[in-house]
Amino acid sequence: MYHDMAKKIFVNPVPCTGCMCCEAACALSRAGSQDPAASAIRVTLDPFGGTQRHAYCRQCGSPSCAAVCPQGAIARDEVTGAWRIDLSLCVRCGLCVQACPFGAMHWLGDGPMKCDLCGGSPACVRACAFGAIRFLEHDDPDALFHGIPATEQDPLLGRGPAPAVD
Amino acid sequence: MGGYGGYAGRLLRIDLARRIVEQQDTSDYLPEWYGGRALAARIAWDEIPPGTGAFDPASPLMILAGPLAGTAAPFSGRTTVCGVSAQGYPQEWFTRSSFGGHWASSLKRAGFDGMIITGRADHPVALRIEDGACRIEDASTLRGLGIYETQKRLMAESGGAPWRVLAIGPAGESLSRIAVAATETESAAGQGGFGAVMGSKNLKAVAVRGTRPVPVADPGRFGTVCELVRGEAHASHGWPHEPRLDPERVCKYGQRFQACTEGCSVRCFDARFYTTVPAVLQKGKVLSGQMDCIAGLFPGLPGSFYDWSLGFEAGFEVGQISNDEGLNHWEILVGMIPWLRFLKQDGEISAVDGMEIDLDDPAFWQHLLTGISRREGAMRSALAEGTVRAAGILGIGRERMEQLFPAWGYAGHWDGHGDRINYIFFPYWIVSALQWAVDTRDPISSGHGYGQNIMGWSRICSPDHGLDWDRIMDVSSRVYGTRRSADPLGGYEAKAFPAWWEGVRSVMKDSLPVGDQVFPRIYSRRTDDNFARAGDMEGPDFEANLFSSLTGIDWSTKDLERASARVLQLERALLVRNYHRSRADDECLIPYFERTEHLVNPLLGESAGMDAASFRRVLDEYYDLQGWDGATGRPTRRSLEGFGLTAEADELETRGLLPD
Repeated sequence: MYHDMAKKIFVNPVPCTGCMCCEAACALSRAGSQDPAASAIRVTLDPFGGTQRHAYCRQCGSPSCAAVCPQGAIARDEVTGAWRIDLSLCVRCGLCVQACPFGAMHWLGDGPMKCDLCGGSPACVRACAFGAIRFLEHDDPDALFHGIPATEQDPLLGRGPAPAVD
Repeated sequence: MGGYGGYAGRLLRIDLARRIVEQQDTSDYLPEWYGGRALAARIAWDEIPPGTGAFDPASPLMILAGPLAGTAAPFSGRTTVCGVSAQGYPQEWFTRSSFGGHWASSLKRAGFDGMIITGRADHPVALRIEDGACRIEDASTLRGLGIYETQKRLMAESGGAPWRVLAIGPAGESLSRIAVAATETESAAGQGGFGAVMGSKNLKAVAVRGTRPVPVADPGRFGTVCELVRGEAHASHGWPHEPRLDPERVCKYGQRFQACTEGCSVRCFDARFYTTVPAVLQKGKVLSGQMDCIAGLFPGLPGSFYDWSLGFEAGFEVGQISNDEGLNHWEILVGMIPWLRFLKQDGEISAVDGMEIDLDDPAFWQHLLTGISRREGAMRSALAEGTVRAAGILGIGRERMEQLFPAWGYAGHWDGHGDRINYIFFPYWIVSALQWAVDTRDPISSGHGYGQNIMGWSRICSPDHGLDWDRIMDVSSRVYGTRRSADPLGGYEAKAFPAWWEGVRSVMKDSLPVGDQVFPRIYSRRTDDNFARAGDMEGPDFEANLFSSLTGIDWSTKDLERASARVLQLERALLVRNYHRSRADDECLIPYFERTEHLVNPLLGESAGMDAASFRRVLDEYYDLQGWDGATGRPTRRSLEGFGLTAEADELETRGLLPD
């Protein structure tokens, strides 16, 4: 039975290098091909600013996508805790895609698509060599930064090297 | 398509003069010419006749993404550029280059494995390639712009996936032979002068994006192989330990690891992004950008051979200027600047076009670099031809130039002589010399596997994580067949095979592609015997497993090596047919290597120079491995027909270029 302590994906953008392996692994896992539209996690790169933004499903406690669905087609998976779409109930209204505040619901082919945690072993987490994507119960900073060298942590968060004082 | 996975399925044939865009099935070349450099070799033989210069409108510029690009395969994001090189010396001849960034995956998603561009547009143009279509756009308003601004303007067309842009700067437009084609802030096809080739075609940029899927033949196995390979490859450069960021630069300049190439899954010794660097020349500005690889030398290394002292902030800014102008960093930092400094020391020159040579002054660097890219002043205009040609044009410093440039118009690289950044001593640079001897450019672009790996795993370079020499010899014998190949006291013995094997692997890296700073996987800290393995695969088999599970082409490592060795044969046949390449050419670098190396092998206790007679014997062994004629260094009918290249042998014979 699902409970609130189920694991979900947390992305820590600090150690992310923009390698895009998470997107490719997700697409491969979900679609069996390298279809960029099939990736439930999306990384937006700014090649000139050196930053990455990650759009991914938080598996919210009270998700907007499920709340707006007129068919009740989005429901918790009792084993993994992931919110999953039952496409046999979905009427393709697209409200869920519009409702997600994280940009994590997508339209793929003829219906909506979202992260289902790969049945409990997310491909994006396995693909991230830098520990930027974690499968955790909480977004506890100690867990998010566990194993990441101090120099790669974020001084602005009070972690990592002390800011230089000129 | 024949059902192959990994390939987008189509190639673009673009004639800029006639503004014609046609498409061709990639499968016309598959599986033998399996992508990237392999595919380019086939096209070059078929379509580049003898006498074709780099700037001839008919000279095809090939920009090719291999089957692994744009997939979950780790380290697979590079794009290969091939054509007649502007930088090549003494001849503009066929060669290759490559660049990283996120361009290759976008090209594949646009529905193409590559493009072959001919003709010269009558005004500046850009290509926009998206979802199965290519349009030629006017780029007159981009004329003279730097590489950064060019990209930003072409990326500004919103809606849909982000555009990724390959562009040239003023250096490419002015046909500087050391001009790069680049994407993002520092991912360039640096060596080869292909920026100038683009400029000669009036091609300012190529923008790509798309939404098309790339098929995968065996998704389950491919995914598993990707995860295993990614898990085993633990550090860049094939080295035992991981790099760390600099705490001071993290805080002061926002230093962070940033993949220079899509798919790279290791922290890199070379790739850093900086978000907040105060400009020195452009007061008040704050700069951001990548500072990779050799660009880390811009600030200077006081106390070393590269002992200028710009400091980090000015050095970063000069590097960004060089990126934006579109200039070749390796040429400038390892070749041109040391050459100018020698000339100043020798009293031959004191200034460049009226400005005193002061390598501690960023204003001098700006004067030099922007003047080269825009061909301002007689000296900088000559330097725009590359240092080797400039020495001839200006009639100065030829002997000094010959201390820095082994051959073919390229500055030293992992050679123990001209390149003093990389730590390699005798006898290991004998393999480098062989790689240089039979190539058309600096071979180390995709040829780091031997010297860099051995030195990096030695306790000299890695006192905390390295291996003793016996273990290094044990591991290397798994790929080179004998411990003597990596023996620090091995002299000239068993050096031909590593040069051949790394040459084959170089083709593989440029064709699949996989990253040169990680592949081939040989040494590992994850196994008891330090030989790389993952699952039931051995390290040198990773490439074939990635390729076969992705494409469905059931090739073993031996099959993939054979296909890559075939490429080496065809490239050599092309060199002979088009440029009459011979053994005498290969040996031209002997005097460079006869000079005493700049390091000392501690087990020998003294520095060495090349012994010409011994090297010639090693070259004999190399030719034997290739099946080439010992007297001329040319492919034989037997060596070519061994790879099914009978028609090519016939053509060489017709031209009187096939050895008896």
